[in-house]
Amino acid sequence: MKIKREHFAPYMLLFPAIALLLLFRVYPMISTIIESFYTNNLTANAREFVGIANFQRILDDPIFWISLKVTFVFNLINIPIQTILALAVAVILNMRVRGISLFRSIVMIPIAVSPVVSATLWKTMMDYNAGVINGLLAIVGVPRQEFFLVKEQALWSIVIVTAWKGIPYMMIFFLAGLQEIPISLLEAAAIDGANRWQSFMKITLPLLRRVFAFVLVTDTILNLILFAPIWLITRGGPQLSTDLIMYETYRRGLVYGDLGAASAMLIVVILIVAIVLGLEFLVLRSNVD
Amino acid sequence: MNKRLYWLVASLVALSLLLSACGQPDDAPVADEPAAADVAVEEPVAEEVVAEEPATEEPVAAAPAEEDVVTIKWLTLSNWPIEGSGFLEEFYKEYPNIQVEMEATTINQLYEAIQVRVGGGASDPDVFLVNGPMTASYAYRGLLMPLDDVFTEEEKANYYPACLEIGTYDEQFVSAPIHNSTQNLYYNADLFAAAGITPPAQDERWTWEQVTEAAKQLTVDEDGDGTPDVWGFNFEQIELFYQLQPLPLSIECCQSISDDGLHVEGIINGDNWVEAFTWYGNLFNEWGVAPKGAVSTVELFMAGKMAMFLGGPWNVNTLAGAEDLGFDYGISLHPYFEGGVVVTPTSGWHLGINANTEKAEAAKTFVHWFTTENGGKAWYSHVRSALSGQISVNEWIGSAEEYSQAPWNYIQVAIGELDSNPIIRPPVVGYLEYSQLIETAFADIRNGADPKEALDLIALRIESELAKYAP
Amino acid sequence: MTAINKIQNSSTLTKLKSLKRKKVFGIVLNRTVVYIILIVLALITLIPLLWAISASFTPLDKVFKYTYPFTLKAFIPQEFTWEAYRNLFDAGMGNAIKNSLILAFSSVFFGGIISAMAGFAFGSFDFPGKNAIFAMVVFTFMIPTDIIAIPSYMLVRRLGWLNSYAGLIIPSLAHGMAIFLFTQFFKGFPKELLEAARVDGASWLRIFISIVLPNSRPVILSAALLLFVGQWGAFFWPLLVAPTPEMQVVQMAVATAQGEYRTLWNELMAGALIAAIIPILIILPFQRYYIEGISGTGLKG
Repeated sequence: MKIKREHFAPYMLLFPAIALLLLFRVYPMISTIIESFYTNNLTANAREFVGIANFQRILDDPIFWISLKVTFVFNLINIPIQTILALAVAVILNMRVRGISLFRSIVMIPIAVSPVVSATLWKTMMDYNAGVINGLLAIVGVPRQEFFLVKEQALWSIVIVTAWKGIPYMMIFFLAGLQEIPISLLEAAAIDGANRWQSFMKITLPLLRRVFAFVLVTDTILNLILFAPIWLITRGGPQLSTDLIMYETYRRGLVYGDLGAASAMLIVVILIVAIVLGLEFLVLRSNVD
Repeated sequence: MNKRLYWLVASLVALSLLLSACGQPDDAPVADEPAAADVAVEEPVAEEVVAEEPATEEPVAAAPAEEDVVTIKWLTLSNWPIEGSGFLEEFYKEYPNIQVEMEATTINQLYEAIQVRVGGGASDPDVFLVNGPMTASYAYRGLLMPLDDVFTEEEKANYYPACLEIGTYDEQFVSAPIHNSTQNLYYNADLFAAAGITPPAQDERWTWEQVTEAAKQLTVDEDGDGTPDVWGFNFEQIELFYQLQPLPLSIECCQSISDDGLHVEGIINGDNWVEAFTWYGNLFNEWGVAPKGAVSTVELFMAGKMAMFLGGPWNVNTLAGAEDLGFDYGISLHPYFEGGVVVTPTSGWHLGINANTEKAEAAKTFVHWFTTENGGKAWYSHVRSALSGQISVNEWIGSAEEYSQAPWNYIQVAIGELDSNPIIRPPVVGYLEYSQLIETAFADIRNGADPKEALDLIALRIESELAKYAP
Repeated sequence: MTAINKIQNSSTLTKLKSLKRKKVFGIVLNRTVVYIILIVLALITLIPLLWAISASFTPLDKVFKYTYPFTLKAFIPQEFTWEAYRNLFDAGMGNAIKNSLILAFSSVFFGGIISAMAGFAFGSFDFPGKNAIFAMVVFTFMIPTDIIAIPSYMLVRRLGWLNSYAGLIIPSLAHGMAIFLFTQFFKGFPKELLEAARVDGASWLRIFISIVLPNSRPVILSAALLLFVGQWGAFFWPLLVAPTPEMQVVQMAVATAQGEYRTLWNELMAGALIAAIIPILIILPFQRYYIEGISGTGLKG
């Protein structure tokens, strides 16, 4: 039941939030769109309207495509890994064994750790010369790994870094979802003779569908626009192997001042995010029945 | 749905459009990228200053309480020991009506401040440090006030030609050289003796092939753990463009970018570059004579763990002034590739005047004093040790009492090397992009990437960034 | 064995885990295996932090002494020293912490109020345009901050808010997730209470302050945690908008412990820990609220 017949109150209540959102979210968004049609003529420090020239320029630019490809590959690896592992960890943490809440607390810690700190920690741990990870690997006879230093390993190393924080984060949603599933349902199924695997597939997973969708969407967005670990550790290298699209955009726009191209890239990124999300929705919807 | 709803949404959207339409052209913010473009030409922080005259102990001359006093703001580096050194006091002696307020920042903040403030049309700072090769980029954007009317022809002739060239854009002299630099080969005489190799004489110029040969013999893994304990050779500025440009140019001189400053394809991934950087990469990988990872070459040398290094003239003071170094060392000339030409790196920091300054007279006076003989001598008495952008000042430095004996007199070798075919870094509009990006390729090659592949890719990358400057 | 093999091995681990999981779902069985997995998870989570703690209390030249070759001594500082922390605070970490705390608490307070008001409006009222405005809020929430960083920066600059607390906080005060949280909560808030107070002649402001807020403790806590952690962890925006040393936030102080040629590893780890410990200390005791905060939005929405 909602309160009606109030003319001012809701608008007054909403006003600060909406004003702020308009000013600092909607306006910059529109500004980006507009900016993508201009170019900074650096001599005169003036902007020129160039229509879709920026878009043409970036679409012709091999670096842009390389960056897109890297982003695509990265997400193709990362999103499934994070989502599935998050579900797995959630299931484990949902078990009723003694001390489970302690383990839950521990596994949740990376969420409280900021992206800067987690990237810093892992960069140090994966140092080529003397990092702890190489030290541990040496114990089992594995030679030193270059991790962030060579193009073959750099992207995978970023996967590891983002997983440390990303999996617990996604896991929380799954855990909350799992805990909402009434035990009675599962017990009834067990009585009916269903084994654990069947009850997982037929009861649990479908009930988790909404959570799953949310996790997938969130994870997709966060990973498609991943920026922090790249900026902090690899700077797009080595040899562009970690040149995710947000970093490429940042570099082009903020470091080298090519705002028009950067804005155009951002528009493309947004479109891609929208398309990917759309696809995910389609797939999920068709799985309903 | 009803009309009111549509009105509401429409007005919200219209409001936003209105706000965006009010936008004025803004300058691109410059983000802080901790990997600085190759400015690390300069001396490390803690370095010995050989005082030519006793440091001035007087307190700062009290500014005269007349309205005549003009204060100018000088944007400079925080790791230079200017504060309290007596340098500015020398200026005040000659020009008591001008006060200099220093704004000292880190290198990256310096760049950003120049880009954002000066680039945004602010009148402050009045005077700022300019990394030599960035002169073109700043001048192109109208950030620098021309200095032709400030210096006499004589004074300009006192600058090293390379420095003058790099400070000139579009035939206007726009940034005045403070520093000049070169690189010399330093070696640990004891390690050479122990290995039974004769080191190069002070006036002898080795080839890189000779350096490699010696380095291989001098790299020693004493405790057999697979990692050398003594390394054969390294560069002081291991991955920087300043340090490494001479390598390909020694094989074939002298192109690092196209004449219009917009293209690198076929140049930086041409044969001489690939060959030079294959050699470079081998140092760290195949031959293993130089260490990978974050290391300080000079620190290793001073600990007796590096047999040779290529470094700047400030090392003369660092090494000579070090207590109990524990070994004999020597200096020699910048190597070159056999069958190729001698090429040395050059230039350093300049001083520029903000084109929009409101205190042009005072700024010009300061810049003129600083980068002519009086200022040069003051600078090298109080703040720095080597080497000046002015020929006469370097002569004066070299003639000082302190520099008359070994190993201080190595400074003469360094001064002499300033004239050995110095090749400037390309003063092009896109220098920032060019140098930063090419350095990533050097780092990758050092980490084992295939040189041709790395250079091909970075050429692509640089072309992509420079495209925006095309007319 | 390359890193790729390492990954493959861990997906084998996953299959192994899922086998066990299928067998034991819902019922406690194979307890040992579960504990093994839990311990492995805990180790993966904790090793970076534990080592960082040890490294932060070690002198700089000994930081990597026991990491390669690896011995357990790496986790226990052999030469305990406070020097890393001392140097950090000398270099301005104290100021950075102060800045971040001020920013975080301001975010919580102001952001909380603004989001609560908005959530209250959405959740308890019906009014023309509500759906459209709510849709706009959803839409803006989907825009990641990084994407609009550049124009936002220009706007803030034009407003003269560079290097100021205003520039750091105000743009992110309207926090999409917090608004959702409050909206969901207020949907279930008893309207009779509100109607009754209204009939008594109270103004909405009174009602908001004296009836709504006191009865919203759980959601306020959740939102507060979200806002705090969000602001505390911000680094890209402060990097753009307030890079000067006086205005440094704690995340920046961590990132800048890395020099061009030398990284002061022990200080880097110390800085990282300082930055991490505060949100950890805040979230752990309230984890249920934090979880509900994050998950409440997506699951019931």
